[in-house]
Amino acid sequence: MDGNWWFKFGMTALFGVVAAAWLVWTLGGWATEDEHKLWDSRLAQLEAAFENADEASKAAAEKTLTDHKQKELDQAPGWAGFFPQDKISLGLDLQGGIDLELEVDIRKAVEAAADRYSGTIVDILDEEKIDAEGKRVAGTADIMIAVEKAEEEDAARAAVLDQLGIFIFHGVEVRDGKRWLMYSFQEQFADQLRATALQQAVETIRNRIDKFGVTEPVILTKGADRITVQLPGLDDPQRAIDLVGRTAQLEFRMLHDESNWSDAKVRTVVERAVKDAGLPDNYSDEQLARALKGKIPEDSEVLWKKEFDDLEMRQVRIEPYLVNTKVDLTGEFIDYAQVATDQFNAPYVRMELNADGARIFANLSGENVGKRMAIILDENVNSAPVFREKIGGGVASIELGGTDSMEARKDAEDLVVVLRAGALPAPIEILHNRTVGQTLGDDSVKAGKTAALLALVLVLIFMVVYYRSSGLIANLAVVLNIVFILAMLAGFGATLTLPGIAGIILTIGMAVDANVIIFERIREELFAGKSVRASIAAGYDKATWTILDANITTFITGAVLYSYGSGPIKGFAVTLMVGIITSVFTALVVTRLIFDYLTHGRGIRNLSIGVKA
Amino acid sequence: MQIVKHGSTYDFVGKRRLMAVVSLIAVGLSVIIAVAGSVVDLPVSPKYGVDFAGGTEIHVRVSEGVSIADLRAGLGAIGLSDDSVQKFGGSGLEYLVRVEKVNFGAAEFFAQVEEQLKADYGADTWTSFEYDPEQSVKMTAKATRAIPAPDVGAKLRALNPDVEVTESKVEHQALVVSFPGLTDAVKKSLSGALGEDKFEVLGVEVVGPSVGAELRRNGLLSILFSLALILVYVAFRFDLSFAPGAVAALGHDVAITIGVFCIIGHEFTLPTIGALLTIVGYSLNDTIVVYDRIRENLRRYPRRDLGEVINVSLNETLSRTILTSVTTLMAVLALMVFGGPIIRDFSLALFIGVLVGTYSSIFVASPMILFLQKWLPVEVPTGEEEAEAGRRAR
Repeated sequence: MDGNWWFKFGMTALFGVVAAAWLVWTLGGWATEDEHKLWDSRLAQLEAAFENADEASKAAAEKTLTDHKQKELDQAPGWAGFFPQDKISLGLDLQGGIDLELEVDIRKAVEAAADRYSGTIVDILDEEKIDAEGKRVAGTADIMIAVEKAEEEDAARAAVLDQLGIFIFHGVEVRDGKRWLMYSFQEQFADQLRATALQQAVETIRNRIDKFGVTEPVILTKGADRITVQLPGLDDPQRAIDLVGRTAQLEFRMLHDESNWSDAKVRTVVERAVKDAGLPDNYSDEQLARALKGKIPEDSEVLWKKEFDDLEMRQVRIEPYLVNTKVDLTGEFIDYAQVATDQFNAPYVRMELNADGARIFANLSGENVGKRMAIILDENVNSAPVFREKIGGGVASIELGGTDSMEARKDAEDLVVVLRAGALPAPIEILHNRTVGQTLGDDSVKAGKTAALLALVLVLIFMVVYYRSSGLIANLAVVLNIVFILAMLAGFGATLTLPGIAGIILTIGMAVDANVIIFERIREELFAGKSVRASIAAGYDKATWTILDANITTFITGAVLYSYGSGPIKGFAVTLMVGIITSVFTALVVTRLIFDYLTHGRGIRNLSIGVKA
Repeated sequence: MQIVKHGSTYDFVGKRRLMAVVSLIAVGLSVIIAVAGSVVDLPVSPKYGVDFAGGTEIHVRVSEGVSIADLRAGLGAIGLSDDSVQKFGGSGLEYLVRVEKVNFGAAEFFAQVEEQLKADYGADTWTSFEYDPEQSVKMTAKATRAIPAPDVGAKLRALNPDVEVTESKVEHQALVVSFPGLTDAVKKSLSGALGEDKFEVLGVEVVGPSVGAELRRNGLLSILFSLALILVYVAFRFDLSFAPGAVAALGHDVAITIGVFCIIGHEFTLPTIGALLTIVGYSLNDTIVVYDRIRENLRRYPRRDLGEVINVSLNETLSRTILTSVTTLMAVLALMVFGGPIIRDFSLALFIGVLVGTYSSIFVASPMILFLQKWLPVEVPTGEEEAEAGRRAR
């Protein structure tokens, strides 16, 4: 061990320094904040100087200065990028906000599918010239089919099996004097229906919330039928629930006057309007609408195709469309939508309309052959297909562009989700709603800080009183421990909650445990009459497995807590587990190196560890 | 400084029968209270927080000079009983308003609405009234013809001035009647009784009844699950004969903490379950350290009596056991006193658990090995190499 201890010491020191620098950067972000402040004060001075000047020149001067500031910030030294930009994010219980747990009634989605497929089966049999009636078995997602002529039963079964390979046949039952063929969905297909229903609900909710302008919302699926929605900074649960629980608004509108408004022109007009109005990067749809006033025709508006950006974790604008304000058709007229494939195996979307919808759609497509219609969900354009011909009969095919087959299929599936969102709302139920006001969050942060500081001071004092100089080394480990925990939380992008703070405080108390085990061992060895260096070595060697065993078992309960717990409790489990890892590291590696460094080749006879041997 | 003199020889193992009786009584009492208390009506019984019981809980802070009586009077006006208002925290200005039903009063109100609409428009006009009073503050009324929402709204406001009526966006010829939820009702009645600037709603929690039951079940399962995992780990790392003792000690700690919580009338919430699991972790930590020493000493003194070895091991680790408890209790105490009211029950559970956990690792976990000796004899590691290795390490 002596041979490479300098190397170990160096590595640990380096690790400590890097972690500390990281922490300073992540927690405070002080450097850039100061620069911001400087520029803000310059802006304020300028504003004062321009008090008597007219609005236009004032705005121009401000803009120059803002640009300049941005430029300077952009030119921050290259090494700044080396440091992570993440900060520890506070949980909803600390910063205030709404935490909703929703349940999507996926059972209803399967039942609705059973309703539709009973019709589909009757249609298929009709094509085979077999008269039949079909319905869903009440209270289940099973389907029952009665064939008019008993001798056609086998042919009917063959036809269903042949054309819809998604059913399990359960035999024949006699009810109300008729023979019914009983079917249920194959489990795999039912699972797919449920998954689609959940995905559709998430999509809808994300759309809504993005429009609502919540910063950093979290929308996650949980299990087979749950959605967790976290809205930081909001404190009116009713408004959020109304927003989340509303049925999606699906609209079909024609693009406005395509001969005069090409895609390129729309884009140019929008870009110019954004620039002229000096809109910020993350302008809202309302701001844009104001900026565009007078620049586009009265009876039109700009809507965007937006996509979820995995890197930025939010919806980003992709493509503007100029559409009529007049809504030609809404989701209420759609019966059903599904992905189908043509004879070349290219996927397309097949959409079925109800009677009213079919009539409207026939007129609309007849009048607009060669023109594009935008499919809009909650005011976001999903796609804008072209009418090739008049579409009668209430069945519309939407072809996807010339992308490769895999991508086209994915696009088709996405569009189906959108079309169904308007067509069949899977009921959403709010299971749990926790709202924390800003005041309460601030109070909790303050209380958490006080408690943490007090716990730290108490433990530090106790250790020095009990173990003297060795206690100081343990204390260094405790402080380093807290630094590591915070740095790791920031690095992993974990969320700090109030129970999370409690976890850190508990770690302060428990982190010294590993050192206590070691120190007690060293004392025993000293009592046994060993030299200082031998006692230290023996103490650490013997304590190592004890410490590992004890901490691995605690870690197991932490892991169980993490997998079971919700929201804030998860935060507690995370800090507890991270605390266990860091405290084992600081106790077994860091304090040992310090002891080795202090006793290395000095022939020390007395060790200050609170006892005289 | 030394809390325990080096070479102490307290006779823990000799007192094991007495301590077993004490522990059995404490655990038995706790289990009786927790189990019987949830079935029949006892003066002490487990109380569940809103996250387990379901319902609505509104956290309110009032201005200086507003008393709990003022608050109760204000809320009495909307039919809330006196015990739905509880003091919260130590400031004397914070209260919890708690109602078990998710949307209180909605069922009665919608029954009235149904009567009224049938009387005003004729029973034949309406095809259905749909509402679920447990989950929703909205009712959908379907009619055979289109009925203007403002007309209906005007009529229904005679019943309740806050009611809103809109046309359904989903269904044809249907009206949606919505009724203010409990939070809004509370805000309104308090503004009326106290004045708008005299109170602030700090937080709201609404939990559906099905979730509460599910969370309770998950909580219990998670504790059992972690105990099972620990049993496996201890059996694997130490000896099968050690594992029941560790698990018995943990069960002991959890049961007694639950019992104390029942007796002092504190509520079980999600964080309390978190605290119980942390206690499991902490107490196990303590137990493992002792077990580790027992294992080591079994190798060192292969010829000594098992009870003696256990007693020596307990004495050797005693100062560490006490020291770690002291530092942990210091931290937990700081949390309990200064951590704010929300975290107080959590830290109280930890405090009780750490105390009981320290006791159990000395008087339950290790003597248990001795009690079980008849059925699960300890295999003394007598390997020559190991004894040799032990000598060399020293």
